[in-house]
Amino acid sequence: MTARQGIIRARTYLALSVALAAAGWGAAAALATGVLLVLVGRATGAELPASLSPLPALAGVLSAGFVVFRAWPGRSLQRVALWVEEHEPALAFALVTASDPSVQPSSSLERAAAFNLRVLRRPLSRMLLGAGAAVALTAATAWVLTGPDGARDMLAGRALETSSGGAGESIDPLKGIRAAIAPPAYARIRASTIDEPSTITALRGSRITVTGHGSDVEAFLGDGAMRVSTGRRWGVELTMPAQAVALTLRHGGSRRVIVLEPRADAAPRVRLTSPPRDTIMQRASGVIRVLAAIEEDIGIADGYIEYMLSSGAEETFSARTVVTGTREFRGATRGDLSAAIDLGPLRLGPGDLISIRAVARDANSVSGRGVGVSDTRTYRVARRDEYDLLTVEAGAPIVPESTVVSQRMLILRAEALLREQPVLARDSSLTRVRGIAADQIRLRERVHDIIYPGHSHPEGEIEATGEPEDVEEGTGPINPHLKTAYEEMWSAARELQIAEVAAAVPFMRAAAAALDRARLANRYFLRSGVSRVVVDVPRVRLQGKDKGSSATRTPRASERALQEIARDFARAAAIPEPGAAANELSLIRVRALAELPKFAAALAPAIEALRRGRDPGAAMASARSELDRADAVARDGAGWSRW
Amino acid sequence: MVSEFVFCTGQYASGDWESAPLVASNLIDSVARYTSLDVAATGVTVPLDSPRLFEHPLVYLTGHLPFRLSAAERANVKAYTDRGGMVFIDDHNHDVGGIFHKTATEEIARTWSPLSQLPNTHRLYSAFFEFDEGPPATSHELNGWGDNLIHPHLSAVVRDGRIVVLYSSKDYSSEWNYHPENKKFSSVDNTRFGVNIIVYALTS
Repeated sequence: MTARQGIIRARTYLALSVALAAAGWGAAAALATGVLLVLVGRATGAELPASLSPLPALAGVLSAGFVVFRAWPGRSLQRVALWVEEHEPALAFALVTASDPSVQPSSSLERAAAFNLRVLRRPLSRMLLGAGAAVALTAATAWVLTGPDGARDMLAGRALETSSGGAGESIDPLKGIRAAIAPPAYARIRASTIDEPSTITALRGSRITVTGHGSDVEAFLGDGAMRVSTGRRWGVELTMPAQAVALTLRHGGSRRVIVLEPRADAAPRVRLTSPPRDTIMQRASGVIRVLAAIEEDIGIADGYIEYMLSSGAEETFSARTVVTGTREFRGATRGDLSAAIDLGPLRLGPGDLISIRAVARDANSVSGRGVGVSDTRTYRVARRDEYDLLTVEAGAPIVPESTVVSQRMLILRAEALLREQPVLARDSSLTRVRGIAADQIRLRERVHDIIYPGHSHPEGEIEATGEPEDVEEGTGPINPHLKTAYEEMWSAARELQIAEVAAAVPFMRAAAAALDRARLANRYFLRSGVSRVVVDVPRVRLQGKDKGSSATRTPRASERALQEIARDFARAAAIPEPGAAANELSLIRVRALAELPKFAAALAPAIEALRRGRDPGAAMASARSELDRADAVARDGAGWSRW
Repeated sequence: MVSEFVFCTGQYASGDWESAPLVASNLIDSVARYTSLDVAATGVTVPLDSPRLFEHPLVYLTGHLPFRLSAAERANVKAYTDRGGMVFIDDHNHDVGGIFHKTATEEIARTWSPLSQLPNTHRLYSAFFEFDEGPPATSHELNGWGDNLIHPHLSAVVRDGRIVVLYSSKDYSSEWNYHPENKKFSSVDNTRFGVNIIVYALTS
């Protein structure tokens, strides 16, 4: 073995030894820090924050780094040769000289630099023994303080979990509980943990893992039993439900209640900033600038401006919706929408409406996308007659309206007959068509009475006699639509009387359309006060005097719930043992979250104080005040009112 | 304390809330005819954003046009139902593809929660008269108007087992919009179901 080869082998041994020593000292430092945290926790009796958990690992890494820094001479052969010469002074720098690449090798130099690798045994052993002793000492301390698994926990960064019990103590599985919360992916919120939770508040759909020491734990979500994973630690996994519910953990005779309080993902709040108010336009022209502001608690997915064009009146409407200004927000919590609506191409006529609003959606993939919409601004094009001072009150349905209904019914009957005619016997077909024809003639007579009042018509005959001129003296002009309907009905009835149903239907449809036009032409409907019809109640009742009472009511469910909550709260407040009282109050809080949110909110600090061993007096007083307030409102409300 | 039932028609800023002006008097007539409830001889019209709304246990809304509530109307009517009031909304277009239905269902979902189908065994159908087959059909449905459907169910927002919002696509507004004096010409009074709605609102 040449001197150079010897140095290379020495470097290998040295590297291995330094790595082992660094690992040993690192583990020892981690254990020592963990033990220190345990001792601090026990000395103060307080829960140490979870943020201290990485401290042992950090101490271990720093210690290992320090060992490498101090013990590792470097990778170059000359540095290793110097390290060997430091432990074998008899070499008198011959080894360093031999490792120098600029020096020509010679046999004399090789002889002078020859060394036995055994010279390394002593320093390397000392290095490794020191590290091993440190590990043994700290591990023994950890074992004494935290039990056989404590050391492993500490090395794994779980020093705080071991602080609740020592090796000789029995572990209470309902203490030292930790909840890990993983919000749904769409929310883009980091996962978090809570130690000793009384209430777990998380977004609906979050994955929640509750763990603790030991085993033999039963878990119930509401009344349903849950699967509990076993091992050195117990654990339950669940998804945050839509409604508040109690997670009850049982071990032997003891119980622990944790309130699961879902946080709903609110829909985006959309505010239309422009146009600021509704408007009536004389003519539909120009451009409407639409601006909207959006706010969201989690993140906005997209949004758009929507406007709806409505035209028509009464029963006949047409409407279409247009979407513009669509924008993606990619999870931003605030955003703006804008659009310009040019009224010119929309060709709005008198009486037409354009209703504008902004819409935004969030990215909720758990309970469905939340949709937020702004208030609607309406632009209306004025009708000419709106400037008149004439007030026309709405009245009862007019005759043309009922004729429209009847004509439609006749069309439906004729169409049904057409469909069935191929399979009908001739007699039965004729009977039905004659019936339709008779009804058509009767309807025509009703229209005749409207347009030619006072003029008789031969009963049941098609040929009406004495149809006057279109304009009679003193009667005013005849409604042209009614006259068209009258003529179309005449043609329809003629075809029906000769059993030509298919030929009659077009005339019947034309008559119905004309009646519809006449109905709309005759009907005025201005937005004003509704005409009142006073009902003569005693007369309707045939002067009956028996009186009922519309105000007699039974207590509502929520009022009963309030009384029950108040009763249970009083009972829970009287429980002397803080853990049991906290459990009862947690169950009450689950019920109160839906009905009495202010009381439920006031109850949370009281439960927390009981769990942490603090004085719950002030928090309980605050909760009691909220309950009294709700009770007072319930008792003083109106006869039919809940509150 | 409230001792007299006053029929209330809700007035909202958008749309034609007054499109069925005779429904109120017709139902008042029916309540007087069939029940012993103390009932006012005329109805009232109350804006949805008015605190006067809270004086009435039931508010009736209808229309053909887009049904949009302003922020004030929405907040007030929400508080109204939270405090025990009931809202009856009827689609005067009798058309599930129509603009009133689309906007009203959207507004209901925004103000309360999405509508759900009301089972035909609900207490509403036996609150006074017995309707074994659910809501009675209207002549507009039978004549093929609007969406040309006979809707077998009503929809509702139910809270704590109580109907907060009752929604109808059956166009009772057209069915009941006639002068009560004309009721004598009907073989069966078609407003009887209106009595059930009122009695339910007063007793639920």
